[in-house]
Amino acid sequence: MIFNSFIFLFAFLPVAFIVYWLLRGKQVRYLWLTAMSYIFYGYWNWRFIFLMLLVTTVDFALGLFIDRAVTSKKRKILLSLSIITNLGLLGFFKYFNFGLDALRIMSSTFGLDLALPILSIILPVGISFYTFQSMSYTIDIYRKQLSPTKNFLEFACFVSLFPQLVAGPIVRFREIVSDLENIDKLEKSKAMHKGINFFVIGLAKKVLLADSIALIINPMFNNYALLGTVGAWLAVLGYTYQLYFDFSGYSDMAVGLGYLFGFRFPQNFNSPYKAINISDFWRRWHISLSTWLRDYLYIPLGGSRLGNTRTYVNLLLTMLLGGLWHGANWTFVVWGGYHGALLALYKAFQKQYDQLPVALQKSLTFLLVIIGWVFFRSTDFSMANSLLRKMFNLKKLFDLNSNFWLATFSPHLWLMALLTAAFLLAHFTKNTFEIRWKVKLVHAALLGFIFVLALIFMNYKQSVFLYYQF
Amino acid sequence: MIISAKKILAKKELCFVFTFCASVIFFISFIFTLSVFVDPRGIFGTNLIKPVILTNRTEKLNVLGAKNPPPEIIIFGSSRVFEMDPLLVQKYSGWRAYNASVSYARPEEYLSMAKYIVNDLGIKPKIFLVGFSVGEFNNDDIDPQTIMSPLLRKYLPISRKQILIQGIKIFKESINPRYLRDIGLALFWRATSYPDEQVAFDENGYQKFDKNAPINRERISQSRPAVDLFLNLTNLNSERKKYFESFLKFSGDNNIEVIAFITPMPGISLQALRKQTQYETIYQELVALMNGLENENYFKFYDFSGTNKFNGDEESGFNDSTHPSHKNLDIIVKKIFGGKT
Repeated sequence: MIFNSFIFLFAFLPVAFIVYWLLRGKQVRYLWLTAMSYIFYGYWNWRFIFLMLLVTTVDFALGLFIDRAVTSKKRKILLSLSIITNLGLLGFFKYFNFGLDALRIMSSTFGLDLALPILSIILPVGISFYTFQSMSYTIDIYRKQLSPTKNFLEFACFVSLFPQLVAGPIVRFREIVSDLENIDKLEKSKAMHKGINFFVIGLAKKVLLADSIALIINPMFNNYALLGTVGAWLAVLGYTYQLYFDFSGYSDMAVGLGYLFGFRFPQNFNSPYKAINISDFWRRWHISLSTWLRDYLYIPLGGSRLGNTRTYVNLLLTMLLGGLWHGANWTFVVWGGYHGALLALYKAFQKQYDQLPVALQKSLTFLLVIIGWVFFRSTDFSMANSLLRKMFNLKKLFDLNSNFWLATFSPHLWLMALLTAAFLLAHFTKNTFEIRWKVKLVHAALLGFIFVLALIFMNYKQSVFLYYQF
Repeated sequence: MIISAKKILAKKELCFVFTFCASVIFFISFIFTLSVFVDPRGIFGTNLIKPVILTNRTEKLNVLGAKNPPPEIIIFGSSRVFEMDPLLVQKYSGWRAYNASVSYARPEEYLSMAKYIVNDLGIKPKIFLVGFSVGEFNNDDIDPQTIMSPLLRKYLPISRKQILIQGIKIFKESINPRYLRDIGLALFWRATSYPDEQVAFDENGYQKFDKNAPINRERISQSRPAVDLFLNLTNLNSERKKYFESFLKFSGDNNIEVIAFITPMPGISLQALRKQTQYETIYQELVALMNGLENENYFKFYDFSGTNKFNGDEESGFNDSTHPSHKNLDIIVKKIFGGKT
């Protein structure tokens, strides 16, 4: 089920919400939310709810065992079991064929012809998110930063919580444990206005901006060979904003839904395109993933404590794996490596870079991020290479007589209007977490109008969120 | 409901939610009202403002009902036979003809229109002449104009429940950007003037057009509309096959001969279709179906899918990538009825 569907908006959500608030008591509320979350997840493919149940059961039990284990060795073994289970499942469903393919390429370079099978594996939606979420729970217990819950339903509710189940933010148990513990003490929804504001604005970001941009740029990417310099820039810029409004729209909707049910989810986007350097960008983009990678990968690798060279290597490694997390494709790995290299370069030349005028820093950061998205969007390297060549073919850019400028796809007026709106919103306005939401009736009426506008566009063409594929 | 709302929402929140819901209901109702009153696609039959698309089902049937003496040959089909000339049919067959082709016609339209003509108008023609393209047995929904037409709805071969579901779907679909654009367009044309390129019909259902208009080669070369007919189609729609069989049975029961033919497409379209779609499989299935039905019914079938099949005019016999012009349709009329005179 997706948030921007009629079944979710007019059947699932009202039922889930009303019954939740009519129920009293911890256990029944955990049970209700868990049941609804499983229905939400199973609506896509019911078989995969058993996978989520397996992850939940294993990590719940291991969390308790780790806490009770006396020796350090035993604790390590139990944690390893949790990590192997989570990464094993993630690895099998997401990277099995990719791994075999890599093995095939490697073996062929040594003159070996391995007859490896290709399995037809369906990637369970949201597996990258809930395995990371569940894994952070056992790691935090191992690090003695968290006491395990003894309530299975509470943990099951945490892992499956439908508002953020399939595309984040990656919520850690310790971040919402107080909301979970006090789930029975909330008698009435007091943040409904915040929930509606976040949800409707998220929906509008997704449906009105991201999807409208996608409708124009997808055919451009499908025919990228025909694009001229301007066309390539328009397509890549379009994708830059599409991805941001799609993903931050989803996050806003998730946060809004959280408010409706009495949960406060962490901020996942903090106006990333306003970043002044690449390090700042990663403090603002997909915050829940970057902090997860920082806390559970970069710092355990040594972080910046082991000298400059080791810091650069750690940054590169963390970002390479971060790239791979997004999908089983070398383009994602290169995208991660590219950002790792940028972070390392920034560390190395931070003093000089920080002295540049802020406007220049912002523009440079934005340009570097856009270049990265070319790899992220491309299906293979030849596409990325072709797009980058077209974008930076300055000789042709100023050649007014060349139809290479606008070959086939002339700048689309509607796309230009959308990009202008996206540019102003992403670079110059407050983000949803910076706005102080007041309980004003005029706002409610205006939100009603925006919601209907979003419904109109949803009715034309529904599309899934980009981050569902990760 | 109010008791429940008070139980689950704080007081201030309740006002906020109430205003939000009221605003949503207001705007949705406003759009629905606008959809019904402006009725840009002639679905609701309001007739206050001229629709922006062709609404020829009711109009053609009303004209047909007033014909005295009634026609002996009735032409069915989609816009691909708009330019089939009833006078030419009469010249070669010796029988009065009427062109009852309507836009987006599919087998369910032949069936419901045939039943309406025989049962309600009391007209029993000698022949139903049907022209269809291979792609018309596709999976498109039944046309909203047919579902919402009180004349034809009762003869649709689907249950009341299905009609209701389709009706609700049509209402829901009326809230989308394209529909709103059509509302705007209808109002704009009403306030200013209607564009020249409006399709109109003669008293015998024949489309009015300029026979000397230059050939639009660009439109013919754009194969996209042809490809769209076959999108996601791997074989003939089984329901539509049944509707066509029901149409033949109904005609047979009333001693009405059916003559059907596949309308031609330009070679360039057929080439694109064979390359990009499952056209060949679907075409073969259609021909096999028609040949089979020909043996069992009071029915004659002609395959005119390409100009090579009837010595048609490849150069100037088409209006676009799927629509034959009067030139090819005239040749087809001669082929079908030429021997009868």
